[in-house]
Amino acid sequence: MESAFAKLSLKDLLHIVLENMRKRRSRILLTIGNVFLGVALVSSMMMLSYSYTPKTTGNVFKPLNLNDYQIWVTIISLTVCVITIFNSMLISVTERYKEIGTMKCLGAKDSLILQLFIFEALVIGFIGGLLGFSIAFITTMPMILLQIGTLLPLQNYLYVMSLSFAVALLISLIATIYPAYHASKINPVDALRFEV
Amino acid sequence: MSSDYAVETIDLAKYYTLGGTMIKALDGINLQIFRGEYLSIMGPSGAGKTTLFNMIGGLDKPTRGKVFIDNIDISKLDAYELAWLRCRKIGYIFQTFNLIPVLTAIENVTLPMIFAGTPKKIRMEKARKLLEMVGLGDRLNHKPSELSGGQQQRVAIARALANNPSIILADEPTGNLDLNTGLEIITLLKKMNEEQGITIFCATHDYKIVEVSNRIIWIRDGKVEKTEIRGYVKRKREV
Ligand SMILES: Nc1ncnc2c1ncn2[C@@H]1O[C@H](COP(=O)(O)OP(=O)(O)O)[C@@H](O)[C@H]1O
Ligand SMILES: [Mg+2]
Repeated sequence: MESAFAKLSLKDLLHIVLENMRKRRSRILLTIGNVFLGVALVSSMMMLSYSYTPKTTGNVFKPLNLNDYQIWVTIISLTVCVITIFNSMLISVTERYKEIGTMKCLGAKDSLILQLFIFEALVIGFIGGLLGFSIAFITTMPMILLQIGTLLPLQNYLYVMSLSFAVALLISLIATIYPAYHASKINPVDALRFEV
Repeated sequence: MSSDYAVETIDLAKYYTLGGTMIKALDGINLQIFRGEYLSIMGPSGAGKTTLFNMIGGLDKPTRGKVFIDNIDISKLDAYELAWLRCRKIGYIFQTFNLIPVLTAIENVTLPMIFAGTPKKIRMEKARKLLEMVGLGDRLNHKPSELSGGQQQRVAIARALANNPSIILADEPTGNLDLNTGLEIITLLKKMNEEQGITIFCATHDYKIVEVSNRIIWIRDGKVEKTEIRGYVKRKREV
């Protein structure tokens, strides 16, 4: 067969994804809110763990760690987050059943549909992570100032921030894998027959 | 293989089993569509028109028989090549328009070109020309929800033409439109057929379409009932 498809540019993909998110604003906001809550919980706990983390001497960086109990709470709350995002993504696939079928009919490959959903998950994860970290930073600030009279060292914040983003992107991606796969396997014939 | 055909089907059949009984949606269809032809498929609801549309469009696999598009046996294609074929060789028009609701008219028309990897400048220019051609030059940035049914179907026609397909498949394109709007759409399809030599396959039970067709094939219970030739193909399309 003739030449293969050219690669879709990231800009085109992102445009479709963002337009979609704008149209389905309310549910996307709920999903972002979910990531935000999970991340805010984890990162604020880490920031507050300063009091029992061995003190930094000089400029030597010590990561802020959670104790067993906090890790347990974290796992449970992140699991709840994943389930909620999963549910929301599945609803999104159902809502867009016909639309996805049409795109596949017009020649979109399975991998393109996958990419659309993965992109959406990344955007949601990024915004949720950013919000979660920022809010945790702001709300823990007075407590930390009260406790130690100064903010935590910059490295500590950077450490928590990178973990926050990692957690946010990870839960959002994990929750999206199955719905995205499901969407990519939609049969155009069934989708076109589908009346809304 | 004779290369005069845009589409050829040989003993095409599709059976469904539903609750133990077998439905013969298509039962041995032999059909040749000439390049530049305007072919209408008539038949009552349930006759098998949509099933035939899906088979020729490479959207579903037949139980028996073969479909050739531009002399390519589509049963021999893998999923990737089929996507390519659907993208480049076939334009689709549906009863329910099926535009992407979150994209504007011009973005909807560029979509098949995005899938085909056409550079942005070229595809925007082409989409604008196509929309002007279907009379929507002043509606480029409207979303489908801001357009009437007839206008949405015009966008769909422009979208179907985006990658210069060998054939346009339409499944009841006027089914959701009122009488006059339906007539406008038919006239537009006829114009595309005559002026650009585009091959059109149109499943319908709208008798207005009969008037503009070169050939009408009646099907019932998945079989060809009769064929009527109304006029010869005016001009062959250069390929
Ligand atoms: N997915 C399916 N499963 C079972 N039966 C089907 C399916 N698709 C179509 N049919 C049956 O095949 C026949 C032809 O349907 P269709 O091609 O949609 O007819 P038309 O488009 O002419 O109205 C009908 O009897 C229909 O019920
Ligand atoms: Mg039908």
